[in-house]
Amino acid sequence: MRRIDTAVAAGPPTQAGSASGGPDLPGTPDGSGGSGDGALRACLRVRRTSGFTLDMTLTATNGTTVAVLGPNGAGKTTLLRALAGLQPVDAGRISLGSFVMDDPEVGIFVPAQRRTVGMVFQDYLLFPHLSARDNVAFGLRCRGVSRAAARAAAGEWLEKFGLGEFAARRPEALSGGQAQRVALARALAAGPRLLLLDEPLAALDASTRLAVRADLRRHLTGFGGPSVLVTHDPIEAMVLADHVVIIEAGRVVQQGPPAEVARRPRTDYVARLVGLNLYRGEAAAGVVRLRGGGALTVADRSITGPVLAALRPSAVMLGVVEPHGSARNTLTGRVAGLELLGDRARVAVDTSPALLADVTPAALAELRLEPGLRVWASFKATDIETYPDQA
Amino acid sequence: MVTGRLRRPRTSTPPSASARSSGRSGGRVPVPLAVASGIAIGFLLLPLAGLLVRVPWRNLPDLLTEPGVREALRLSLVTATIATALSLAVGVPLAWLLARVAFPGRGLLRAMITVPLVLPPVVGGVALLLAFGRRGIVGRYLDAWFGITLPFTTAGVVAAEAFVAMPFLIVAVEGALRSADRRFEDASATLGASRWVTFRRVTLPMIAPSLGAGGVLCWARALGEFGATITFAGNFPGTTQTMPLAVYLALETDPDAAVALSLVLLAVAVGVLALLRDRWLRPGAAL
Repeated sequence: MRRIDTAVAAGPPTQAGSASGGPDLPGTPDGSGGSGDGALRACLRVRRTSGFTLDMTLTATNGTTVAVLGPNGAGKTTLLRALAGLQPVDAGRISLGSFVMDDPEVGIFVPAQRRTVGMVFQDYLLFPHLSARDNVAFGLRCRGVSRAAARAAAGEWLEKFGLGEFAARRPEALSGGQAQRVALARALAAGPRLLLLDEPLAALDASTRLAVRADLRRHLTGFGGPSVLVTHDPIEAMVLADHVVIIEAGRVVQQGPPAEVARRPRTDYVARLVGLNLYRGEAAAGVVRLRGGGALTVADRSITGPVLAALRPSAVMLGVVEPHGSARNTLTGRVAGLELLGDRARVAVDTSPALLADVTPAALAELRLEPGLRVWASFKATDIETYPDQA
Repeated sequence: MVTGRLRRPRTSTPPSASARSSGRSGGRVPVPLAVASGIAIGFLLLPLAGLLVRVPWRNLPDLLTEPGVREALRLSLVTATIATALSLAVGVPLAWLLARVAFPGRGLLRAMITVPLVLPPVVGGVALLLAFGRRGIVGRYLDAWFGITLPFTTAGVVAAEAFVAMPFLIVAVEGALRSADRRFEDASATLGASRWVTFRRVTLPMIAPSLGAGGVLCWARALGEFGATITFAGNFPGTTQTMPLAVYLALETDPDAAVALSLVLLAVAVGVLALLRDRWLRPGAAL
């Protein structure tokens, strides 16, 4: 797959098992609001000196949030910098509605300061010498708004974000969560047509992250234009976005609505992110012969050819004796590793194929599971999600 | 020395130093070291003490208000301030260029600009004469076309001081610009700020401490300038005779006045140190 169009619509999934044909975004006439259709359409290639190339297409309609999810070094920050105008693309075209911001072929490059693209940086980059209020007023001042009017508007933004009492504080005197909200207010106050967020919650500790995430969700919903969020945290992407795009090494490997991506991962990286066992193989008559050896019995007898099979670790039952139940799949192997995840334990078993199983801590104790112990893993055919492997 | 369990280094002490001191028990200083240190301390501090002892405290007010002295003091303050202002006006843009724009020969240019830092000031004065003197390669045209003569004028004093002092400012500001986080400028651009607004409202405030320190250093260096000034601008009371020149001259004729003037310069030096103490008196701090 070289280029996949990230068609972002609030409607049904664009690929893999669609139901009703929802509204298609290209060709939508100037509709929403006076400024017209401000949908982001970006098709870009950026070559870095290190030899890394980002090559992807991304679209986002007004009022939707697209999350770009990927491991470190996948090109997420490069993408945002290109969209923001901090770095020109080598090839491609970036536009917001009819406003072309970057198109090297016809020699168009609109620099960041004339793009009206708001950006929330990972470590916020609040100006350390300015108060929270003056940080928020900065964008308005740059638009030629008078000092008094800009400060008044900034004060209102801060009130709206529940930060009224911190208006006079310098960034150094703000907590992480407060700084994050000031950064978002600063970006929004400048009246952007596109909002970019670079790992907006990464710098926060776990306890504030929850509260700030809920807040962020609300503000993103309130923002009328398209927004693009990059993150390496799948939960952040699932909770905040209407559409998820997953990139690895500068290429889009999967995209779709969060629920779809979570249910049907297409690469090992995505499977790991969403915590599923993922297998590749050939399906025929309800049996999937796996590429790495072994076979799975699946419920869908109609599917044939190359498929992906996803299995929730919690659907796997473990036992120390061979089970004689209704489960169609039974594998045996030794425990390879144990990891406690809050209220459950994740057990890696070196069956063929290898799998992860979730058990309760009680079961862990009862079975006396420990690395090297021989166990039987069983799971129902209906618990395996099979779908065509398009790669 | 085994430094397997290295202590967490304090903020300003290099880890190797802390490891060394923790390895050696107590604070006993070897005798040769103590002797050498004592000599160094005496050598550095005794002259200052000598100066203070010899200050004619009683007639100090009279000495410092003497017309000649007042004239030198005024001239020094005025020329050093103008030289600093000039340095700021052209030195900061140059520092920005050196820090931010990659162009061929940048490294060489950076090295050349710091030459006046280590050049004997007298040589600087000679060089200035050869360039801006009435027969100098530039000076002859300044004279012929605009009627401007620099040597042996107050403007010449300013030129000599700026020549010697500007590199201090450039080095300080360039270092600050290079170490400043440029992503703040990106943030400013995404908020719609032009490059000039970004420089004025984001970059400049962020490098303000270094700019201030560089400016003070530049001013202090200009105030104390002697060699280049006397070579290029001469020693005319009222027009080119600055404090250091006055001190040198007074030493022959009126030692008390020389001491009094020296005291003023010493006070300025101490004042500058006090201003910069946060930057310089911290161990391990660099410009």
